[in-house]
Amino acid sequence: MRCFSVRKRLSPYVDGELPGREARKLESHLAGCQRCAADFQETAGVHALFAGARRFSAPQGFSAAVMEKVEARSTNTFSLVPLLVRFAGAAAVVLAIAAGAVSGDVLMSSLVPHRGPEGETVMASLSLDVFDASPPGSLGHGYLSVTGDRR
Amino acid sequence: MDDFGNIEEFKKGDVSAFEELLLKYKDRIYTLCRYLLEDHHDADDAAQDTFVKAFQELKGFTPTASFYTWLYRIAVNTCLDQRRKVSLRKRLFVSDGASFLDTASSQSPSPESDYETRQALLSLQTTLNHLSAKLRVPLVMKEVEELSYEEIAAALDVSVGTVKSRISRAREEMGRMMKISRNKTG
Repeated sequence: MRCFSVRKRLSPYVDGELPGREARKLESHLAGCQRCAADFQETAGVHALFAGARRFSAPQGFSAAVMEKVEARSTNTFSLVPLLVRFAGAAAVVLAIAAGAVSGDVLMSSLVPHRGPEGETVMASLSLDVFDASPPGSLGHGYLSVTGDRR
Repeated sequence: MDDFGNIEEFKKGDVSAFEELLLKYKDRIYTLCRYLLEDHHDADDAAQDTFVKAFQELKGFTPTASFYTWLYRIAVNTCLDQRRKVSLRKRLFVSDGASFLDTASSQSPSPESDYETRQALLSLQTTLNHLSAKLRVPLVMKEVEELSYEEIAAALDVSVGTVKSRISRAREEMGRMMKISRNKTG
């Protein structure tokens, strides 16, 4: 076995994954080749480092946490309630606006049955412009009469 | 009951069958996550997410491979996603190698061997942290989880030759890094 082939097989050899015949050839090469033997030492050294590496235990409460997450996801997946709650407020606002628009339209139609001078008067009477901020006899009217600032 | 028996029971609606699988594999999956992610909180999150995903996917599981290689595949993908998420944090706050060591030394017989153990583990984590995920994952699966090349290949969905070559390269790189480290300190 040549050095190139040996180096390719060092890692599987360390893992015990080399077939017996190949393993024996490799061992006989290592016995006579210092450079490959040094490479083997390095590979075996890395492997040995893991021998002391610890195996961990999952933290306390791990299983319970997993099952809680699983339940939470299942609930989220199958329930429409959160979706309905989220959009209920917006739906109520839209309905109120639509009802207001429809009833306003009905009201206007009943007050202004046809267009013309009469209809314009009714429209004007609905306008806020017809209201006087200081009608005669009011405190505001008296004050403005005294100061002469009548708008 | 074996894994496939538990899976069949779970498919019939028995959640406790899943809990049995969880109890059986939680330590192995958590250990894998600890070696792939340095931070134990990240490892805890990733391990939990692995089982949550497994729960969601288990009804569609077909027994072409063993359950645990399937579970390992989920765990590896979850860890890689988690690594991407925390990569910026890791770049900003480089790990000091303490996470493997925080509870490792209590069983050591003497202060000297305790020190040696800590140094060895520190060296292990430091070099592991510098390996790319491509090399690190199969090496950890081999060395820590003690899976065969075939099992690793099934879990990672690559050929046995690729696993062999990646583990070999991982060891070469780790050996090279450790040699550099020894030369610096010696």
